[in-house]
Amino acid sequence: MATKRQGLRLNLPGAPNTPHTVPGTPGYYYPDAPTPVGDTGELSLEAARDLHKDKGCPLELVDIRAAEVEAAEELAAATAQQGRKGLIVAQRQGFSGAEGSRAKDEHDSSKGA
Amino acid sequence: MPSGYVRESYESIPGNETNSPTLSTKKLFPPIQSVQPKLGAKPLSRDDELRNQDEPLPVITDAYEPSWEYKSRAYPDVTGWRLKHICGAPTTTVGNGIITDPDGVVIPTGAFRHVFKAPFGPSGASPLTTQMEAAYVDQGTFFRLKGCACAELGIETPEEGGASLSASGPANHMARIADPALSPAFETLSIRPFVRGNLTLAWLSGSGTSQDFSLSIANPVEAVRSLGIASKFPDIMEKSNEGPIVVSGSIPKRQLDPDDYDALLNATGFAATAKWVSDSIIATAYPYKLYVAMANCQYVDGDVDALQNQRRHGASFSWKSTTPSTGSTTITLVNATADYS
Repeated sequence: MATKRQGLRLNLPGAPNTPHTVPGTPGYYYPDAPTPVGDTGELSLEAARDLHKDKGCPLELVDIRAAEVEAAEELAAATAQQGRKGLIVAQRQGFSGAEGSRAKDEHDSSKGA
Repeated sequence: MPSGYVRESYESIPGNETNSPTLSTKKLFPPIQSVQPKLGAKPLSRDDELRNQDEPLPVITDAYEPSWEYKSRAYPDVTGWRLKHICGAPTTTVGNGIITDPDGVVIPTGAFRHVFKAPFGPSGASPLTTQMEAAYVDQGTFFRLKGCACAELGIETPEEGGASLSASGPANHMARIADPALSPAFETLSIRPFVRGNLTLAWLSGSGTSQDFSLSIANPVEAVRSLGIASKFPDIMEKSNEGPIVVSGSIPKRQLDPDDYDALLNATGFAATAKWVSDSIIATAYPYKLYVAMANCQYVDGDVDALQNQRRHGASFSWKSTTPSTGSTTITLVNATADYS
C-alpha cells in the first residue's frame, strides 16, 4: 500500500491559482493544488505541521489523494524551475524598495527544502 | 533581510474609529515598492492667545487627517485590486473557451475577464474603501488604516523598470496595533508585471509618433467628521462634489503633427485603446492582458515644443476620456484571479 502523502496548500482567500511564496518557507504554494511535503528534497512533515498550526501563516496541511500525488510532484518541480527563470528575469529588470528581499525569499523558495 | 508587509481587504462600508465593517473574502499581500501610511496629525496650537507669554504654548491633540500612498509594479492580480478600489466592482466572467477579450480572442479555462465600465461605481454616497495593515516588522511597529478610499490611481509604463501603479487617498482612521503575526504570501516572480514592451496604443488617426503614455483615474472623495461619533478622526468617507470619476492622462509626442494640434484646437473626439499584453501566460498560451478603451478621447491641453535649432520638435498633450451619453471608458483585465469580492 502506498504511503499517504500530504502537502501544503495556500490558504489565502481570493488568491489567484498561481504559485505563491511565503517568505521563510521553502517552496511554492497554490491555493488549488497542494505542494507535497515529507519526502526527499521537500519540506519536512514536521515543519509543515508547524506551519499548519501557525494561525498567521496562510498554509494548510492537507492529504493528497493517491491518484494526484504524481501530478502534484510534477507541478512542484515545474513550478520551482519556472520560479528560477522568473527570478532571472526579475533580476534583469532590477529591484527597488522591498523587492530585493522578496527576490531573496523567492530564491530560497526555488532551492526547495 | 528587511521584513515587512501590507495586507489589504475591501470593507463593506467605510471603516472608522469605532465601527467594524465586514471585510472581503479576498485578502491581498501586494508586492509593494512602497506604502506610506500618514497620520496627518493636526494638533491644536494656542500661540495666538494673549497670555503675556513670548514662547510657544504646548499643543494639544485636536484632529487627525490620515491618508495613504501606494506604489507597486502593475502585476495582473494587483492591477485588478487597485482598479476595483477606484472604479468599483468589475463584471467578472469565467474563461470557458467561449467568451472573448476585446480583440476577439477566446479566453480559456483558468483565466478570468474583469470588465470595469463607466459610469464607475459603487452606487451610493460612499466610495469603496479598504482596510490596510502596514507591518514594519523589523521595527516592531504595526498600523491599521480603516476607511481607505482611492482618490487617484496612476498607471505609468516607463521605458524600463516595468509598468507602475501609484495610488493614494484619504483614510478614516489610523491606529497602531499589536503585531498581527501574519506570514505574507506573494505571487511568484515568474508572474511578471506589465512592461513597456507589452504596451501598444491605438490613437488618433494621423497622430505623431508617441514618446510615452500615462493614465490617471481620479476619484473625488473626502473624509469628513459627521458628528456621528466622538472622534478626532473622520467617521465617514464620501464621494465629493468635484465631479465624476475621470480617466485622463498625458501623451508626449516625439514629432509634432498637425493632426494632433488640430484635434486639440477643435476638441476632436476619437476612439483610443491602450493595450498591455503580458509575457506571462495564464493558461493555454493565453497571456495576461489589460485593455483601456476610450470611446471618445479628447485632448484638453497641450504644448508644442519651442522652435529652436534641433532636428526633432515634439509636443505634449493631456487627454481626457469623455462621452456624450454613457460608456466613456471600458477597462478589461484578463488574469488568473477568479473573484475580487
